[in-house]
Amino acid sequence: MSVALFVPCYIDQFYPDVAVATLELLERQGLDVVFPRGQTCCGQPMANTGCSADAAPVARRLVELFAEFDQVVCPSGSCTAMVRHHYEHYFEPGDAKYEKVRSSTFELCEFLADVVKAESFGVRFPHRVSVHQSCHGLRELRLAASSETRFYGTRDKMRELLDKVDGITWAKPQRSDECCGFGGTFAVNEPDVSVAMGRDRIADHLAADSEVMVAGDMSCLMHLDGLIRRSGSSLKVMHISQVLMGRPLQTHTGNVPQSTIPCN
Amino acid sequence: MSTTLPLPVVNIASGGDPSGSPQRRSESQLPIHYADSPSGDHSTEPHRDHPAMAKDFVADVQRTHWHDGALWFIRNKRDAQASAIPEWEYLRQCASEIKTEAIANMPDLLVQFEAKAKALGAVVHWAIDAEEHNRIVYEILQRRGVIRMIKSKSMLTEECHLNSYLEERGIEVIDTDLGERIVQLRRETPSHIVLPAIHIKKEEVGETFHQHLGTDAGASDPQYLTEAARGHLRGKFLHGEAGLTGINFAIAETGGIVVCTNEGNADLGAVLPPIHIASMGMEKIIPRLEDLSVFTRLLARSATGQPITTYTSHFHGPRDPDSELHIIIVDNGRTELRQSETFRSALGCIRCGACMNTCPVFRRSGGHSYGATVPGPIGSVLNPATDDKKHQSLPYACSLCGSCTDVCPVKIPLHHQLLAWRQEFGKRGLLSIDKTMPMKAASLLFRNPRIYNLAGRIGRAAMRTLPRFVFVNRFNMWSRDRELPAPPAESFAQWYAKNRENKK
Amino acid sequence: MKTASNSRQTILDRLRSIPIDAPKADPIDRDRLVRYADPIAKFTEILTFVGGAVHLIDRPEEVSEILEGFEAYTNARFVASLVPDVITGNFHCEQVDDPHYLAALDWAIIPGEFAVAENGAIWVRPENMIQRTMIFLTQHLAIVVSRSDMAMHMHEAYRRIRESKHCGASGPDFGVFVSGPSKTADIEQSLVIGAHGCRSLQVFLMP
Repeated sequence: MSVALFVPCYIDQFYPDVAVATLELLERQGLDVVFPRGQTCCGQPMANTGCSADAAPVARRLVELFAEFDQVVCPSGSCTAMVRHHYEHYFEPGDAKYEKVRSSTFELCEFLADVVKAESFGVRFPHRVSVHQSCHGLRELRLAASSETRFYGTRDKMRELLDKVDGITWAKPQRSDECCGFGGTFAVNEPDVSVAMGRDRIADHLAADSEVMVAGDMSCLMHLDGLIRRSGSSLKVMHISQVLMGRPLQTHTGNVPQSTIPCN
Repeated sequence: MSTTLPLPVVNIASGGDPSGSPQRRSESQLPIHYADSPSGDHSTEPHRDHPAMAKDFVADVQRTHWHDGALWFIRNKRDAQASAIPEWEYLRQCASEIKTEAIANMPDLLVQFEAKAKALGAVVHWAIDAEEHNRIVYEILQRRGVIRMIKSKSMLTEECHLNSYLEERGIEVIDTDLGERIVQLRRETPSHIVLPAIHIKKEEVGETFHQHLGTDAGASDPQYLTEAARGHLRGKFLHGEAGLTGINFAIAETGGIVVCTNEGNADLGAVLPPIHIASMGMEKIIPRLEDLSVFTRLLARSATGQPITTYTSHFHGPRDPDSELHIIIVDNGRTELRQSETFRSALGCIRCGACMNTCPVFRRSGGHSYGATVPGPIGSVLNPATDDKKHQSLPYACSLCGSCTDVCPVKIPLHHQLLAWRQEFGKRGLLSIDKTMPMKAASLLFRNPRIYNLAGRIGRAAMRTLPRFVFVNRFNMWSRDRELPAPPAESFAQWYAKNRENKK
Repeated sequence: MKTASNSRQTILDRLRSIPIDAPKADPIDRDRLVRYADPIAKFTEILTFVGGAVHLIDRPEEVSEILEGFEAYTNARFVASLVPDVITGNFHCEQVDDPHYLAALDWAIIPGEFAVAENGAIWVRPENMIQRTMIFLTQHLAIVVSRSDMAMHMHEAYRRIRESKHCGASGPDFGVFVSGPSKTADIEQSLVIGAHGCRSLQVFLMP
């Protein structure tokens, strides 16, 4: 059974190791992973700006590319939510390919937790970790219970996965799921509030004595890391896929760590 | 009926205001500054959009943290109340269904309400817009020679700019909700629909009260200041000739109206004078008496983190056969909003303010930065319906985090509606070129993988080789406060081609 | 020129111009509603939390015994009682025809119809305008209410209101849920008890 990998544009260009780690994670679980060539973007930036006419062709392209696969996995809650919740008006009602892609696209954590039901990852990550709950994964895909709602019995899928990694100690920020302030184009349309929100998140995680902030969405971390590095703080950020692959703690250089390149 | 009342011996607390003394009338004669006003532009500044106003707010880092902390504190209290009710999510679902039913059946419910209310002795008026609402209120007062009206909280009357309308016509309007009174004395507008003075520090309240109420200079103890206000407003209550209240819920089945307060000011305003005017946006109508059980369990818990407001008053008809109860049903754009399948559910809003308390943007930019009577997430959904150009920045004053949707007691999908507004602006051709151009370019790029890959390689190479100032400068809004991501030598697609594809 | 009936008709026409289909809200499933093993304890917990005081008593005389323990009561000039079987006051409201005269009232002791466990509220049905004014104008308020057959939550409360043919079913009337003394937090979120309504609330839970 083959699984298609859907890599968000900003991960492809700026954080390729997150996609490598995702690929390796899936391969380690015994899956045959395909990376359909020619993929670019889910269309979210255009859609969120209000440019539906520009988002539509990009969305249709994605559906066309992935329609043949029974499972599509994406290491981003926001891109996954885009496909599952916000693609409807780009397609005719009853469009078979769209329906297929919509019901076959999974965010990485929910895929590992619910579909693969991963038991172990065989890695150690002996660091103080604080989780940043990315909003789309949380409130659109319900990867965990949001602090606002009272749906009892909701699982925390990220936490379930991280609990299977040895050595992690937990740092808890005061506000468990407040938004980081990235919000896509929000980061440049409302730069002052965006930066204030990001700085507050960072201060909260630092006050919890965290070594590394882990999230399911690299876009949040891109914004937070930008603020962290400008401020000179030593707080690290890592995508959950990197932790589950036991990557060493390091500042994001953007490059793929040498050790993960297979040597055959 | 006599309009001058014998002055009884009044137990007024210290700092009281024997109403009617000459120097006290001045505050209500000055024009009030409102953010937006249909009855003449009172503001001397041009309208500034949300990012511009937010920039000023955020610049005061300490004050922003204080404002953010105050609202987060209320959000926490709300959370505690939600935890106290095991069936919390079920109640939200019930509330949503009741409001959906009410919105759908609005004409029949309003007619039913009107008939029942009239049978109980109330007079029911209908107002198409703010201007007509204000005129109706004025005519009621004028006919009875009223020159002093006491008012309790009504966001609808804020929306209609009733105070300035009446003051221009020689009627003294006293806001009795403490927060509203504070902003009224400071000649400001409320910054939050439930906590009108949340943006004001106690020292500032102290200054205002020193100036207008005669409290000690430099005093800022909330207990002392509230006591002074109690005395001052008690005098106003006793000399009010008419009272105006808002309506939290209007019950179609019984013709009754429900008003929820903590201070008791609405009740004093409704029971002491012989005329009670109650204004409602038409969406306040609910079908049955029993529906109140759901809303009275959700409202205060969502708004301020209390199990219920101190007073939940149910008015059925006037206070006695010699008094008057006037109920004004107001449209002012609501019928239009109701036409839209996408935005219709926003009419279910019970004005609890929970969305504002939870919104990370609202907490860090303040209600005044929204430039409208109702700010925050719900305001950003409602305001563009009245003026899409003026309020264009509001749906973008949002990171789409979805917290508002998760706290809304009636489950309005607020963040999805904000996104829908952005798309609506796109359809209406309202988006500025600095928004549309980059998106057109991006769309072309994303449709063409070869160009996308090439652009990526060139861009990353440029970032690795060109001097820093090319990318980190004041034209690049990202770089003003953030480092750019470090540009990798290879994209994932390039890595994959080398490490997986070629191996197959 | 907009006339009253024009606006009414215009508004109704606008509302009727598009038929909106929506199902009637499902009736509340009673089984999903909270139940308290000890409603009286819950009521006491909540009312105390919001600043009221709860007194569990068995004999009517205990009301005056307890009130005599408050300086604000013993120093009070005017006390009105609407429960003469329990306690007598010195302010005779039946002789008052103008509610403004109640401004002098220090204490009002009134009957409550029933209490609600989940939120410390008591349903009060004043019989006329004077009794209604007393609730809000008095400096201190005391409510005497039965503790047996307490309503568990607001759904039960409204069922009782309907059964008692209140809320407009028998003509014009007024009813209010009172939960705690009046309060405000409008000055920097500092809670201050005693805004415009009563400064304190004593609730006497009779058998």
